[in-house]
Amino acid sequence: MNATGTGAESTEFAYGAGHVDPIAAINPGLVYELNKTDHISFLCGMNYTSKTLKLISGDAVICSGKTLQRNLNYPSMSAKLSESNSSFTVTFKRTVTNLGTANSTYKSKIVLNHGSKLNVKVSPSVLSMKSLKEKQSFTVTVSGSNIDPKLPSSANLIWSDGTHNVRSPIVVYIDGY
Amino acid sequence: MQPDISAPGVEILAAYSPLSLPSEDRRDKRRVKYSVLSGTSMACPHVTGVAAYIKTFHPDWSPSVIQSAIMTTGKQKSNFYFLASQVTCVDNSVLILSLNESLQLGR
Repeated sequence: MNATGTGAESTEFAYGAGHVDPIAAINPGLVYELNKTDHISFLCGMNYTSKTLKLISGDAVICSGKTLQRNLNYPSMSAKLSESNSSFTVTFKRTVTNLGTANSTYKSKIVLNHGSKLNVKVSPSVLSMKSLKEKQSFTVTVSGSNIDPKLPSSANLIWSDGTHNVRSPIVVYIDGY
Repeated sequence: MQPDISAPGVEILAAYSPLSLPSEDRRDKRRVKYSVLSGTSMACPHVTGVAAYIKTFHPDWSPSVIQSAIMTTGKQKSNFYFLASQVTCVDNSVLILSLNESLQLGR
């Protein structure tokens, strides 16, 4: 896929998770929810000071430990790698909330994008939701070696209960690509 | 924060200020209330509209839930051509959504 403006190969950093689909968005099945604490932990991980955190949140915040930016409970996953000529493993932690139907089982599927050499594992690979608003956590481990330094490598994680397909792009790229 | 989402942003019929010139030419005497524009600023309101549409069905959903619903249901297209480089609407749409987030943090 090419971008019209530049003619260059287009990536997730251009088109994102895809084109908006309002009808599908009404009934997403699972969602990645974020609350105020999640945002504050994220900003703490970005070395925001107590002063700037107070300006943003309105609260006096003391950061407890450092949360990795990639573990923000966001519906897409991306990680910047420092070197291309070595093997790597990155882990993403996520929590989904069931807004579809009670008693549903979601199976994970990984779809690699064209040319991607990533190895992606999801644990657990099946989520059984008993009730609405139930939350369950999982980790996504992405590994590989010698990836293209000029273009991001990507895959998709799709959670499916047969009715809902909850898709998240996963992107890893070399610093300064 | 990327990747997030794409929305239509090329050759969009948009409101336009009659105080502004409709073209680059300083001799252009026309004044218009509407024009056809492109860019992330055109894609952004589409995403806002989708967010508002979802909110009408689910008034209790927080901004982050709505953003997740929009992103995880986004359709992959083999041809983004007609969307052109506005695919970077990404950054504008996220601006809108994160503005919501900061106004309604944790709600």
